Amino acid sequence: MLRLVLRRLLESVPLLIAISLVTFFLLFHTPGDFLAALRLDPKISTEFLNRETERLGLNHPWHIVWLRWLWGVVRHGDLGHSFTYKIPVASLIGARVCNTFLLALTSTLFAWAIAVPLGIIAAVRQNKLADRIASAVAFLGLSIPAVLLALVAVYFAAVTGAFPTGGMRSDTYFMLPSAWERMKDIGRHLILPTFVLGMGGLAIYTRQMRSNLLETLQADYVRTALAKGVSYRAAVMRHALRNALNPMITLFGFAFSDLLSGAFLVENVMAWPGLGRTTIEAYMSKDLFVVAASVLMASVMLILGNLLADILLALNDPRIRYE
Amino acid sequence: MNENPEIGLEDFAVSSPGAMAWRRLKLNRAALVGAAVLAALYMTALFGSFISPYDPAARDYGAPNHPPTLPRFVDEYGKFRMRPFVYGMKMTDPVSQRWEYDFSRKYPLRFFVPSEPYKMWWVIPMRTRLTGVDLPGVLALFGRDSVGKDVFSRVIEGGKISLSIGLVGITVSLLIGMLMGSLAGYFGGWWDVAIMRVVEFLLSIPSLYLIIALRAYFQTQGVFGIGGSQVNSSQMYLIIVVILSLIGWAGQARVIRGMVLAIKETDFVMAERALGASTLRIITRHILPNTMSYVIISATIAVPGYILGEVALSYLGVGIQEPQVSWGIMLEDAQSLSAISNSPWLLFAPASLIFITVFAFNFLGDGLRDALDPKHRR
Repeated sequence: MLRLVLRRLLESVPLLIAISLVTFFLLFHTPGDFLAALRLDPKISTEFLNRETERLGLNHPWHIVWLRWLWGVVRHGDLGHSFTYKIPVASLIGARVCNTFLLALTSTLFAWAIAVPLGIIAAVRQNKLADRIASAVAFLGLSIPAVLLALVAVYFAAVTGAFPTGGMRSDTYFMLPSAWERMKDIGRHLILPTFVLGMGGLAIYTRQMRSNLLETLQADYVRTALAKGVSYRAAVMRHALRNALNPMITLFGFAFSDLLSGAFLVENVMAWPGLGRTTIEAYMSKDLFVVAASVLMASVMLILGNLLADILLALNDPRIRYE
Repeated sequence: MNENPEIGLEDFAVSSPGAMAWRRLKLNRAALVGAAVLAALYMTALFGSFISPYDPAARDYGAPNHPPTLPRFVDEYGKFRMRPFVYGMKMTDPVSQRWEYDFSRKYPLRFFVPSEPYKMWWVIPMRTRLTGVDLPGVLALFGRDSVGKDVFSRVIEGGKISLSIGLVGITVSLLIGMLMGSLAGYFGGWWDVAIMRVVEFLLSIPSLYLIIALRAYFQTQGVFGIGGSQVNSSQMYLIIVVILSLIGWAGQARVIRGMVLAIKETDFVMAERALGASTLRIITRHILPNTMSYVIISATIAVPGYILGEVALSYLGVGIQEPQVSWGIMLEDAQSLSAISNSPWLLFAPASLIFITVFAFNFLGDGLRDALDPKHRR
């Protein structure tokens, strides 16, 4: 297992380097740079602009800038400085990565906690009313794009006032008396984004869970279990379910990519201070290193998510060995 | 020989796999409804300029944020009228732009009304629109936006872009995916290694991050010599299609490669090779047709992805640019809290169209999968 993890991590290194290379190449071939707005201002002297270009390290060709940045990352773990905020990129996006991760975690838990029971009910009561309702819900969830659901959620929040319309904290957050109150505040802000982001996964997981379980219920070992007198409930929960869960875990690895892209949109609609929102802001202001680091971080999260799925798969199914 | 001479071979119904699939599809009501809805949507988009009652770009400063008014048959006295009509509305509060019905004014709905000249499909000059009401009446089926543009006409105009991006995008990415997948699968070796590394690369960057970066690149560099530093809004359309396809082919190529790997070992390919058929012939006549059912299914299921890709990009402000209209742009217009709470039709008109389209594609895709793939059971 340890060897698998190490090998996968080593394999991802060239991939990450390639991703950062492409990011730098693309960003350097776009119109304007961070100083473009200042250049238009006639009151700002050319010497100052040149000095600034040099200070930011933008006077070199793109591959040199990239190599220097890469060297900094490898040597010191330094992701560079944000041009806009004038602080190290690591401290800028560190908190944002955590926020995106928090959102991804809660929405995944939400989706699984509902999808797995729903899928089981739908499979056990195949073609009965419960199954039809579950399928309809899943189909609906699959067809509502995250952007739309997010906008409708904001509309709902604005009209009813039951939930905050966006952001992660209330204005009074830092005046709240206790850590518990603060957690409750963040929790209240989390509800709608979690729901919106979880819906897509919920639909996919429910349908997949249903068809997996239907398939495993046909298996000989389930019939054997039933024949030797195991109750139907135990046959489903102890024998069939565990095998039906395997493809779900693989699906989780694939779904992580969608989750990150979905989070990108939900964060922008609902003003959640996560990685996606930071990326698009930095992209608009051509804050080079912030964009590069964000893309890198998102890719790292994706790779780790897939790795986690592989590990979970091996833990759930002793037949799987990665050698 | 033939014991029953009345029955010849021609009397047995011989069904091709296609005909069998078609029969199964016809039994699936949900899929048929999906197909019908899609046909209606695409026809509306095709004849959009004629169907929409107003020029989608025309501003009417007399009717900002005019709420939707549906044509009615029953008037305020409960009397039925053969010709549907709309009531006039007057603005009661210019600050919050609230509107109230003015029951004294009625405007009957007219058909084939004369209008300002416009061009159908960029060429045919037209001076007639399908419906309209006499001035100063306002036929606002889906309401008006903050500068008085007709939302119904804009939804139709936006549909031209949003709906066509799905079809064009999936076509381009399937072509690339089929080419790359069959090269990698059939030839193996270095082809396989190189193509699959690119596929892995594309699949391991979260797609929206990559799309944003690519979008910036193409804006300056242009695509195939089109575009460059001055990108106008219709070239942006092309750029977005290319970006979505450049990312979308990776998943298709991976599956097609797997299928090609299996098919090339089958006996009929071996036989064809032994007969001396050229590689091109084997791939195009024997291998690719066998991937067709997958291709059709995955195309139907993937189209919403392209439509939503455009919506996402335009919503984030990096997609289709004004003055062009798309459903994504309309959502972007509707995103402010004041717009959402005061004129929710700005949100719900494009949102419901997007939803209906995606829903219909999913229904159709599901039905096609059941019809074309006998191994797949639900």
